[in-house]
Amino acid sequence: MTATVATVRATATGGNASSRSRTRHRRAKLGRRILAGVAVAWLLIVVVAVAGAQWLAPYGPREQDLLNSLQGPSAAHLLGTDTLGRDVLSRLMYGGAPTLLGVLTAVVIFLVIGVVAGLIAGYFGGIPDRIITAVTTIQIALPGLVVLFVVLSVFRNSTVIAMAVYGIMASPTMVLLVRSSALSVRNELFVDAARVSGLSPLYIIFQHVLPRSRGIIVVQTAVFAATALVVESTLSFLGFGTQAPDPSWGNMVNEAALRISLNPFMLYPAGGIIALTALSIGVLGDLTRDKFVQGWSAAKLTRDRARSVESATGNAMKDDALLTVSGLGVGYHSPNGIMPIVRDVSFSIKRGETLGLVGESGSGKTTVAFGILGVIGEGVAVTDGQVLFDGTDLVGLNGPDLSAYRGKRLAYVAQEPMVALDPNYKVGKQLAEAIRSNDPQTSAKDIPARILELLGQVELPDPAAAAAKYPHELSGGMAQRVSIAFALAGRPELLVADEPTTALDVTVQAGILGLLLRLREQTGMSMLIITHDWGVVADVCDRVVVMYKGEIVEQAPAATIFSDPQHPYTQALLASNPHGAKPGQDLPVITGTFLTPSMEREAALVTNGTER
Amino acid sequence: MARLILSRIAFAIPILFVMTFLTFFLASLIPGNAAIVILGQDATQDSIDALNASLGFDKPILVQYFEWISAAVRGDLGTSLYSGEQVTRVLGQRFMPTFWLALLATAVSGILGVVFGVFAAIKGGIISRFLDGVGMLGISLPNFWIALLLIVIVSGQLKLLPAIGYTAPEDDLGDWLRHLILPVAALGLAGIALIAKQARDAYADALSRDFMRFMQANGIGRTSLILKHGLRYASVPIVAAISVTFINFFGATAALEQIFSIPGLGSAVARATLNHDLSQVQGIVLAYTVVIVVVTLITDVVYSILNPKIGTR
Repeated sequence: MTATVATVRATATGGNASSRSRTRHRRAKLGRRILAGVAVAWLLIVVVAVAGAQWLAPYGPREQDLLNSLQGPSAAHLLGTDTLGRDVLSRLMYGGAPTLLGVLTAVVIFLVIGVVAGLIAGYFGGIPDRIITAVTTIQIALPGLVVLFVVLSVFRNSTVIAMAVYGIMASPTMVLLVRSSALSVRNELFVDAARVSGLSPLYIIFQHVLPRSRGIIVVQTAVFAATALVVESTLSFLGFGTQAPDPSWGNMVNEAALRISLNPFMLYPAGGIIALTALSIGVLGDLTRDKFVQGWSAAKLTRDRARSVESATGNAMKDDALLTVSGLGVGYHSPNGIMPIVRDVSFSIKRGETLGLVGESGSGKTTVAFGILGVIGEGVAVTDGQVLFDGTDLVGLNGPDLSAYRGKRLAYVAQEPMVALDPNYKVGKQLAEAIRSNDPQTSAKDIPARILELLGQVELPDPAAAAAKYPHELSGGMAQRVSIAFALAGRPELLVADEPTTALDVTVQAGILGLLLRLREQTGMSMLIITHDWGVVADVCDRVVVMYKGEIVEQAPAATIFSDPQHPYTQALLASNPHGAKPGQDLPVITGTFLTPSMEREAALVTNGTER
Repeated sequence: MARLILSRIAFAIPILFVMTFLTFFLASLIPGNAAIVILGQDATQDSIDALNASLGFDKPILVQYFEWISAAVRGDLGTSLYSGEQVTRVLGQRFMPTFWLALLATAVSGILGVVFGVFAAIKGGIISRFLDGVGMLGISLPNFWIALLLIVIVSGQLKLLPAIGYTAPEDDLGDWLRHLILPVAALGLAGIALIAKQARDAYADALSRDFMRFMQANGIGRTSLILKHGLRYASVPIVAAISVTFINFFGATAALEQIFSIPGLGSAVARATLNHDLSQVQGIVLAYTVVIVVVTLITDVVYSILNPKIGTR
């Protein structure tokens, strides 16, 4: 389950939302438990009734009562009677045996082939793996149900043999699942350790590999069992397997179908038992999956607010600052409430100024950038504070209002250029879309020229060739230039660059940094550069904000920070700068922890409390 | 592209051999059966032997297989042991009804599945759980039972649609549609949730890509990101799911064709199987295998169009 709560502003509402989601979480858990109980109970009843039919069934399977044929449910016949007045309930109890036997056969074969072949292929690799993979490829390509017809054309009355073949035909699903699961465990350290210490492969497989794969095996087996039950019923519905007058679930539905206009009632118990049993198996599998499988990755496309919220202090603070971030807090939703990622972040950027946001990985720098741009992603929310851009609070804006800012007045360059562009569209097409949405002055016929102009502006040697390429055909440096061109399409006043050179080769880094400097000269735009590289700070930044554990610990002009760092963390961060390291010596590292402003405040409160 | 198609065809050949040989091999396990089918249980051993010799069933299996294959290449799949009809003629008559049934069911579940899946990926939560539930129902409810329930309710009680029968589309398009609505509904239900889940996961994957954030931060609207970039990114797994669904549906029509009296391949193969009509079964199995091979080929071509990394190779 992914918690999906719309962006919340105040901490108070945030708390409510999270307690609501907690209640929902608990209720869902209870619901699943009840559902699992019902499914288990139903399967138990079916298995006991079918296995004990001889003793438990009120009538014999062929016991006729022609005077009471085709009746609805009554006290004597709980589920009514069929054409010959036979008791439907009793026939269902007897008829379950061939069906369940067929399913059991299929499941056992599916499981044995799947697990054994999958483990061999995944654990040993090499030639066995290649043979098994090749066989499964052919198996998958064969028409499964049709193969059953071929088998049945020879073994007409044996659905058990047909179901065994079905188990074989379906086994690739399990083989491939177990294989990939074993493959991933095989490469883990503890399995290596076990191997090195001389433990036998069988022991390692049973002790370490199988338990890890258990979840996926259980789930897949349940889904297969449900499918096999439906397939078996289909075959016996078509007249294979158990022949009349002996009952099977499938041929009872067929009998009901023949009398559908006289007495449709028999259709409900005969088909219902198949559906309910298959459903119970499937539901149990699904519930097990919830226990084993993690939720999918969180969306990076952020929901827009439904309505803009007028900010009280919005227009009051109009000064020479282009961007003023005040008291910004960002947190993610967890079952235990909102966990803060970033707290009380305040800084401002003047027109034409370049601000460096510095800190180690995980210090919240990128989250601040996302908070400014309103792209924090699903499950994360701005909990506090304002992002005033030219006097307007962006945090409170809805989609349409925000679109007057994003891409047009402030733009973004990402750390990983290779994944920042849509892999399915050519560079030119993507830039055209950026121009269309962010630069309305450029008319449709001028767009091609503007694309080339942008690509020239980011100093790509052959703009026309670059425009005709797909992102995967570009080098990292070229891709970063294209994504900068994308950001420049709307002629932004502020460029937020999140570690724009980190993912690139060292030789390319200087080129990109130089480009950003020249672009700043040309356009006069402000920049917020996020980095952990003091070299970048020294080269391009006017001022620096230092972050640690989601809070700002220090901000100062760039020159001052190098000559006179105030906060112990800044001093440690400066000392760990690898550019200053001497060859042959260990690189300096940051050790120990530092106090953030909020920790200092708490410490102060505690001290005051004890003094009083 | 040409290379891709060639390699696909190269892969298809062993599949065709495996399927046809498997049929032959299994048939050879019980020699004389075909003759008994034709002559009846009371036939003398002499007459059975004579018929076996005239049908070529006394020859070694590999020789029989070779003869069948060389005839099949010339377009001759033999005659039905049961009715004496040309197998190719039967295939010609019965292919289209099954094809239409599977195609319409795939189209319906494809459209509904993608819409539900995309919706679930964007909205998440309850819709997503609901899809899981419907998916469970889809695999648990036998399509023949749904078909019968639909007949009881829609045709029997509401008298909205014809219960059984089939009209070719070239004869009467409206009648063709009316007759196919219930079978398509019964068949399609299983596919909706399957495609929807695949679409949801593919879409959730698309939305979790970095380029979504990059583009949103640079002013590309949500509508374009969801409908254009998202759909395009998720298209390959969605096409894969639709292709698999079609193949599944095409092979799963037997019971439905019987219930709705649709003269298609499924009911033909079921009847031929019950009748031990091996030449008929062999011919239909070949038809099914060819359909799978062709659909897989088309799917691969679509992939190469959708994914620029394959296309430029």
